[in-house]
This record gives sequence, structure tokens and C-alpha cells, in this order.
Amino acid sequence: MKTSNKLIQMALGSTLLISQTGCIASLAFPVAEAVNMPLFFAGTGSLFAGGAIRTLTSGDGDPACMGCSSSHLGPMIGDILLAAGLILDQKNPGRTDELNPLPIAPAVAEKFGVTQSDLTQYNDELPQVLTAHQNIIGAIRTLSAHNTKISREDLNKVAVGLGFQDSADLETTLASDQLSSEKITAFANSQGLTPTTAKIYLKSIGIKI
Amino acid sequence: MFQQHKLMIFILTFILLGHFQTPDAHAFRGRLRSISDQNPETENWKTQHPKIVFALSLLDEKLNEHYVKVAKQFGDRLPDNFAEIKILSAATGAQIVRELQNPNTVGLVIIGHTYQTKSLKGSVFLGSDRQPLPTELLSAATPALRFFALLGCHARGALTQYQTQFEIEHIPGKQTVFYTDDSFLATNQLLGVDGVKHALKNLANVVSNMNFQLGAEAEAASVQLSLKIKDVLSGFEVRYVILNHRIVGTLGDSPETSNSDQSYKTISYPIRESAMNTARSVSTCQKISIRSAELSLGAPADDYLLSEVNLSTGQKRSMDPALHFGDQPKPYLAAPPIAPTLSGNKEEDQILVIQYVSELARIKEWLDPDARHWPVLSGRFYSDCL
Repeated sequence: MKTSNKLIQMALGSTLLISQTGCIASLAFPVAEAVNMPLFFAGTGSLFAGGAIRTLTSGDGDPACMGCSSSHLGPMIGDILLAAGLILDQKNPGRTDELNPLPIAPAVAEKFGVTQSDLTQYNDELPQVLTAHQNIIGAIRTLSAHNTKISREDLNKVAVGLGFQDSADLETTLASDQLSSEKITAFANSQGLTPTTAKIYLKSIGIKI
Repeated sequence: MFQQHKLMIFILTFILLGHFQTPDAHAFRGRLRSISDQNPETENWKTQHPKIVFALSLLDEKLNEHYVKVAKQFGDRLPDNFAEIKILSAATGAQIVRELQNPNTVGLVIIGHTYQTKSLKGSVFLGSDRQPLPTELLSAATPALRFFALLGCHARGALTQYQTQFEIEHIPGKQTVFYTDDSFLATNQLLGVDGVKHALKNLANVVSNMNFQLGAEAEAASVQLSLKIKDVLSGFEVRYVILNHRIVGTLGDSPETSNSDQSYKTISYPIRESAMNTARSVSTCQKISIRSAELSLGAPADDYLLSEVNLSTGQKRSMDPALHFGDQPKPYLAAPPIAPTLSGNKEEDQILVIQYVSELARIKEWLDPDARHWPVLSGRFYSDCL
């Protein structure tokens, strides 16, 4: 065999080898931050290449479903990867209740600038965090619904509900680059959270602190 | 020949070099690394019937067959009658939890694809039911567990995702977590490289020197946690029952932990008294939560009713009316969906297919479709101090 052929075969072989690890998608996007996107694409490709889907419930193909294959795992990889891609969209985590316990690990503590014991505290306070999250979503919906017609009085109510003095305080804070520790404490008190848990939560939803 | 394949060679080289430039990249070979708790204050449990569990998570059929063989080869490398090798060829999180709860399980090896999370830089293993393995997975283990191996790409991230250091510090006895530090782990024998096989060969050498007959007597379960539930469909959505941040059981993964009758059913979970300690919490009271591992966006949750949570040590919480958990306020009673006609446009077809599958699942989830029986929808169940 010619050297050139060998080289080509080796290159193809290496690629196949890697592809069997399931990491080929990531490999094809070595600098991609959003790992979910390659997965999403991989899922899309496999889904249609397989020409089959699987019902979520039983594992049996539905008779009404075109091209269903109830027994072959391969085609199912498509929608599995698809689901995985969606799951791992961490900016909007894509989870049913969006907020889950944080892994208690050094890397996570470092990311949030807290101790592992603070992460334990956060996980303990998760029910309150979920309530706070709902309050924020509620406030956003209120603001969206009113659009530009919201009255100063209503805006004040939303701001006070989140621990701000009034709407002017809320606007000033949103306009600033970072949230001060006083604001975090005020928010924490308004939601029944400890300040550290509030800090982790706010950071997790992308607020600069 | 070079001329003919110039473009292909260029692209492949670019991709491969691009990968090797990443700082944590290695050569796929499966170098085994480990972490363990150095000064355990308590002993492991001893067992006369040790079992090592291989959980093959999300793998395609060929790889699955391959790793069933490799797992058997792992057993062949161990001394005679050393331990039973149990292979879960399509493992789910619930199955793994049950194996970890078995006081004979001394080792768990998870082999599968992993997917990196963006914000926490963790790596998630998916079960064959397409749901992620829960972060507190290891908390279900008994002190009989001696080792835990994570074999997949980006396994360092899995150490974070599964809070391994925290877990081994909180399980009595000494545990060692094995992992490979390769970013990408080769899985086939092509070119003589199989990172997983290589790692398992080294793992077998280490495990061969372990003694499972030494240690403390296993503690029997003396406490019961019971739930009164209704309209829990088997196999639709697995929920983990968690006491003080420790997984003590599952709900909805099998007929035993489900209820398709119109009346409430009590499901009991045996718990060791020592497992009721609150070392994993900041608070010192008993807290229970019931939640699934992270569901994918838009995946239907199985709506169900919970009317009572009861610990046999005297803590009880009754709910009247029962609490309703899930993702829809009322039963979904639409007519069965019609399979979509695909247009050939991948993006559009993909949406159609997802909508169709999702709709099918939503209709199947309601065992009791009488809307009057369903109170206001709540979030996931988190008890206060019981």
C-alpha cells in the first residue's frame, strides 16, 4: 500500500475512532463554548438519518409513527442527543423547574466565589430560591404586560417586592455594571434568603456581582 | 493520491490539531487516575457476596455489545470467586440507585458518553432512558462501596458534576473514585487503542488487591419512609426520593413504585437509621424532597398527587387536599395526534417530530383524567423540617 494511502487510511481511521466515542461533535467544534449546539446538530442528523423516533413512554414504536423502529437502539440516539443538547443549554438550563441543587465541588465553589459550605447552604435553601425565582419571573411578566404604560406606582410595587427602595433605585441598579453587597442583602432579606445564597442565585442567572 | 485527497487530509488534520491544542487534551488512551478519602473515620461494611456493577449508560448497540464483553473480561482478570460481575447493559439512574443501595455492591463502573455543561464545566452521563444521572447519585451508596469508576469523555468534569469528593467524604468507610483524565476517550480497538479497556485493565489490577470480607457488619434498615401517591405512571418520569440531600429511593421507575389505581397507594422505602443524619445539610432537621433528575426542555413531566409523607420515627406531613406536582394544571384530553407529514426540511421536520412525540406522551400520562380530582399545580416537593 502506498504511503499516501496509508496516511489517508490512518487519518480516516483516527476520525472514525474518535467518532465512536461520541465526541466527534465536540471535536468538530473544538472552540465551541455551547457544547449543546453540536449535540443538537448531532441529534438532528441522527434523528433523520435513522428515520425513526421513539415514544417517550414505552420504548415501543407507535404504529402511527412513520418509519418507527421499536427495537433498534441506533435510531434512538438521535432524539436522545437532541434531548441532551437541549438539556445542556445552561444559560437557560432547559430544566422543568430551571433551578436544581448545585454540585458541591471545588470548581463550582470557585465559579461562584464562595465556599463549599455555602453551596450546601444554597442547596438547603433551594425551596426559597425557587420562590424568589418565581417572584422575579412574576415581576418581569408584570413589567412586560404593562410595557410602556406601567404606572410609577406599579413599578414601585415591583421594585419594593424585590428588595429595592423604589423604582428609581431599581432603575439605577439595573443601569450599573455590578450589584453592590447592600443591594444583594436587601434582595436576600426581601426573599427570605441568606445573602450568600442570594449571591449564588443572582450569579447563576447571569447578574454581575 | 495526495492530490486527490488533499482537501480531506487538510480538513482532518485541522480538526485533529485543533483538538490537540486544547490544554486538557490527551491521547484518548484511558490513563487511570483516582481520588479517595485519605482518613476515613469509620469502616466499610464487609460482605460475603461482593458485587461489582457495570452500568453501560447511553451507548449505541455495537458499543454496548463491545463493552458487555469488556466488562466480562474485567471479571476474568480478577481472582476466582472474587466478586460477582453484574452488567446493566442499558442502565438508568433508577437502576444504578438500586444497585448502590444493595449492601453487597462494592464497586460501580459507569461507562458512557458524557456531555459537558457550559456554566459549571461539569460532564453529565445520560441513562438509557435519556435522563441525566442525578448529581447526588453516589449518595445512595452504602458503606460497603469501595470504589466508583467514571469512564467517559471529560471525566474530570464528571468529578464535579457528581460531587465525588463530597460524596466519598460523607459515605462511611473508604471509597476511591477512578476516572480517566483524557478529554476524549477512545472506545474501539481500531489501531490498538481502546481507552476504556486500557483503564479497566489497570482498574482490575487495583481492585484485585481489595478485601471485601474485612470491615463492620452491615446495618439493617430500621426506619421506613412512606409516601401516599396517586396517578404515578410507571416508566414515564423517574423521580428521586431524597432525605437530607441523600437519595433513599425512586418513584415512578417501576410498577412497584408507581400507582395506576384510582385510590392512593402507600410506597415505603427502608432507611438505615444512620442514613438519617443531617451531615449533608446545614440544618439539623429531617427534610424530604422528591424530584426528577433534570428533564429536557419541553419533556412532559408525569403529573401526580401526593397526600402524605411519613417517617416511622414519628415525623409526618399530611396534605389535604393532596398536592399536585407535574407540569400541567389539569388533565390533557386532546384527541390523539396525527403523525406529521414531513416536508424534507430538516429543521421544520425536526420541530414537527418533537411536537408529535411530546403530544403523544402528554396524552398517555393521565391515569385519572377527571379534572375535578386535580388541585392546584405545585412545584416540586420540598418538605420543610418534618
